[in-house]
Amino acid sequence: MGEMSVMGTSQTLKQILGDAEWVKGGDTKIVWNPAQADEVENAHATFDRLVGRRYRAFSVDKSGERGELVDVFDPKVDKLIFVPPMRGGR
Amino acid sequence: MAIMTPTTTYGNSTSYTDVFQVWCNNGSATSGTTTTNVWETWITEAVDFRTNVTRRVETNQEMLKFRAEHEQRQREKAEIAKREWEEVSGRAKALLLSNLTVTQQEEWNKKNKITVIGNSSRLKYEILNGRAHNIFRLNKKGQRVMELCVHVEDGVPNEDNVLSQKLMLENAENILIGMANKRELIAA
Repeated sequence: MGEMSVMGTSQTLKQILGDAEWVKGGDTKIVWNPAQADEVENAHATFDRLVGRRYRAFSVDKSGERGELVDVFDPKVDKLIFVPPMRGGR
Repeated sequence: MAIMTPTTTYGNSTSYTDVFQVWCNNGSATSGTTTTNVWETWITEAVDFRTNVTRRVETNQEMLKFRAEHEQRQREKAEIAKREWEEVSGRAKALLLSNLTVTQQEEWNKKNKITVIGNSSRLKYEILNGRAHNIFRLNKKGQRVMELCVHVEDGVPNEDNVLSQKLMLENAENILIGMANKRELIAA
């Protein structure tokens, strides 16, 4: 199973992900089964929607040791974390 | 009580009349060319006054009730917001801890900060629990030599912000450094 965690404010996540996927309170998790075409398609669409909103996707391993910035959705990836858009402070 | 008013003056002598006695006897008062039925006027005005006072009291009671209900609603909303924020923060903390190395987890639990290594420079950074001005580049002695300010949008829990900063520094250091506001520090 693949899993993506999306961080951000409730309002932003609801706006991007819609009521169906948005989970009230904190990061939202979306899971997909790589063997299920419709789930992969849905996860792919969510990936593209988030990247289109300047979110950055990182493929990470369970240990927290390794990560990688990814631009293209890979249905075989285990875990993705989406970082909200960042900006420099004052 | 009697209120005496001068009525007639003869030389230095003035006679006084008790106004109330006159009013009570006559039931009317004459001023210039207008004669008013005193009792009717008083009664009408007294009734109007009492009605106004009653309305005012009722209005005040309605206002107090409205205010109490408003304050109650505000308290309930604040309580819901607090519970939601606790839930959000709890999930953010769990997500952060599940994506830290064992060393970083220990560091976070003990010192409320983590140390990461930039993927391009191989330099060390400290990320403190916070939102802004919470990243420090360290020199080889472990001293803070630069402060970086770069963060996610408002309203995101600090733990999510820290995880975002960690992922960026460990995997996209140059992009983060390019966005950050930097301030050189004199190492202690």
